[in-house]
Amino acid sequence: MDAMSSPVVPIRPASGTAVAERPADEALALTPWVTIVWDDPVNLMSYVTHVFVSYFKFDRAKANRLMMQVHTEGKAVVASGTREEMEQHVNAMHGFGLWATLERDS
Amino acid sequence: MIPFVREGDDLVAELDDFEVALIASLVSQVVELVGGGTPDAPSDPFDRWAREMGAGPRLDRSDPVVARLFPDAYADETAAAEHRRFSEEALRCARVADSDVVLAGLDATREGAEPLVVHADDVEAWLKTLNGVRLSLAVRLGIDSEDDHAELERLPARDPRTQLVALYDWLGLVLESLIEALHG
Repeated sequence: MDAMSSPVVPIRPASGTAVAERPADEALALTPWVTIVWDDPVNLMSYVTHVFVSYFKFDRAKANRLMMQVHTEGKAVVASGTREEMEQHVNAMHGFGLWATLERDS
Repeated sequence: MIPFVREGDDLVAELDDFEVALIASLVSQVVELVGGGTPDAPSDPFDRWAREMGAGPRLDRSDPVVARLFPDAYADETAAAEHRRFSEEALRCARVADSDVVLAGLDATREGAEPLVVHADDVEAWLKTLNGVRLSLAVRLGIDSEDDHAELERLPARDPRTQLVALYDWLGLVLESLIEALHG
């Protein structure tokens, strides 16, 4: 948490990871970022699985496992890497209508 | 609707005239909501870049449907707004382009007289567009949880929302049929 995390009304699913300021700390800067997909009651389970297979090229077993994790636990980390890569993934998920965010891996 | 089946590389379904008009109307409504098509995409790379940098139509994020179709990428509002500045227009244009693919496909059925043919290259556009319409209906119906949907299913027939609920469920079947034919 950095200084940007003034009281945040949790209207979005992820909370607590303020990222507006890039950290000066070198070690922190190397920490990978993650793409998180959040559960919603609208997207069909088969659709979410399809997106994971089609976009991330996961095999069906892995795609299905992650989809079930989203469904039962409310969210799942589906990718990790640089901030730029994760932004690309999140954009792609939004293009599919999935609810996704990125944050620094904790 | 006669559900989708695979025919070679194509996925083929049959819709009647009413169903074709219905999907076309819903898709067009979403296109309008997100600011419509770009009338003539600038051929000059700089103009195109300028447009992607935020010169396109601004989305009305106070509309919950728009907010759902273009969600925040970051929990932090400032980071989310910054991200949006660089990504929103591309997402918006992609949604409009996908919708055009769907509208052209529906048009090719000649109001349901011909089968609906979804070519392999167009499947993602169809999935994203139908799903986007379904998300929009869900927002309008206030479906925020599984319970909300179950409650809507129990509405008395005279409730004006029952038709929308039926439409939402039907779109789910169309989408499910397309996915099944694709992977089956």
